[in-house]
Amino acid sequence: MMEFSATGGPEEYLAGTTTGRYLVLFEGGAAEAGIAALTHATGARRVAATDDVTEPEPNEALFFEQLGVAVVDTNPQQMRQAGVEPAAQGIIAVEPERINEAFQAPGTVEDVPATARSVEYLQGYRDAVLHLTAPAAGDLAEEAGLLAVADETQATWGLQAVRAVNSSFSGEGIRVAILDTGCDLKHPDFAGRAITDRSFIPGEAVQDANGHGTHCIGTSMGLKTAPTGPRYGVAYDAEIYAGKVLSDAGSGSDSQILGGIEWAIRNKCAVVSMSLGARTSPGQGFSRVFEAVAARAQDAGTLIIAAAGNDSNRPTSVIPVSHPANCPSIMAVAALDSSLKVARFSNRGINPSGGQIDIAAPGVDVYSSFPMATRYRRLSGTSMATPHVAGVAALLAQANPGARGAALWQLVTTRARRLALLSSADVGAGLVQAP
Amino acid sequence: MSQEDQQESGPVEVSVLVSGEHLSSIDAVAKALESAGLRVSGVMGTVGVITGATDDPDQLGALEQLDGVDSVEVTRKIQLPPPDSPIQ
Repeated sequence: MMEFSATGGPEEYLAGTTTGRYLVLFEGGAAEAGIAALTHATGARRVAATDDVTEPEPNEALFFEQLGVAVVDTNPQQMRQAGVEPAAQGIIAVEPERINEAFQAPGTVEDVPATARSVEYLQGYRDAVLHLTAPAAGDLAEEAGLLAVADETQATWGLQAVRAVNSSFSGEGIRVAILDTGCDLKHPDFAGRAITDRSFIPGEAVQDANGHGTHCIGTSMGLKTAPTGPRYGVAYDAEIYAGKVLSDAGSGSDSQILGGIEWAIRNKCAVVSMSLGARTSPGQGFSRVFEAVAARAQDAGTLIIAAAGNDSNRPTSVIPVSHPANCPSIMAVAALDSSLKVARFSNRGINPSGGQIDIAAPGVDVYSSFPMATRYRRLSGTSMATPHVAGVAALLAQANPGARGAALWQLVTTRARRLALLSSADVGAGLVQAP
Repeated sequence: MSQEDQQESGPVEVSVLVSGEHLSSIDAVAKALESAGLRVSGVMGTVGVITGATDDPDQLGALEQLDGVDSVEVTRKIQLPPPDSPIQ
């Protein structure tokens, strides 16, 4: 995280790594007053940020209305004379803009539009300032306020937490591969859905006699209106690709998983969800094979998301992120409970170079589809958190047709809700959020 | 999720990563691996991985030296918890 003072004046920051511009963060609800005060004091012209306009010209104040942040191109003397500092009306913090090089996602950052990088940078700035300035109790209340969700009458707590319920996106046109134990193809909740399937397990059909795969498909892509009970699926119109890489007994191997990834890429799935993994030890490196495969998948437009693993028993023991989620180019998903605490079993980013948690999602007491005649079941695990992220990634892919692979990764993490009271080693960028 | 290491005697299953420059000639790499004693079971041209098995674990280092081979890994096994486990 960047270091800065929320209260210092602009002149403290004239190091060689700054751009010569200033970032100004406004109070929520007072941004209009703040930008007016800023432009009045500096004489800078107010310009609205758009997808095409992300850099201010000299003597302009580029205003990111959604973020409550302005980027001002003016000289230090003018800033000082204008008296623009956090004491001013509606302004929380002012700091020189740094050269932006700290926000490279795994994969090729060149593919990412400048807008996405700018917005992420500004979001990071905003979140960092708010984290430093907000009292911890306020943060707690805010995070708790996110989830007045004990009521699962309409939708599961997980769908509420990731804000899928009110999303205007459905995943339509996006192919999502769930590499797991298959799918109950006769489940009434999937009736009428186009399901493309393939088994990589010799002698076993895709039909899911385990239940794990059917549960994960339900969370990521289950229907919008369930005939009974709450809505439990995120991307209800996405195209289901059910790849059976784990047997009905729940076992599989690297080669079967790699076969499933190959199949998903060839079928142009934008998202691959893998609720599977193998335990790792502290100090253990990642698989070169899976890392290269995941990077090639991203280049081909396929984002791979995988469970961080359930080997921990907090607070007694925390275990590193599992294989293959520990690869830098595979998005590792941690599990949260409904009070937005890290799940007891959820693994942590311990090993360097790729072994970190990238994002978190609901993974405790998750209600979803299960093979008939059980029909629905509640399960916990990073296996249940992973398809929440896959579903949200499908919504983001629909909303941003140009964003695939590394660019989609960046959107998923950029838009996550920061969990200021938790460690990024446990939750990465935070709670995944639907567009 | 948990891992069961491949411990049983008999053939060793491997995943072979083909280097980026050799992706277009992956079939030739597969042939070279076969000539070197690997029983090839799958050639995945998109991800650039060849799977196979060998009875001789000492052979793996030699396979890694072949032209077009980036690395060779012994296949890991993956095992979900029993279906009745509350944590998956």
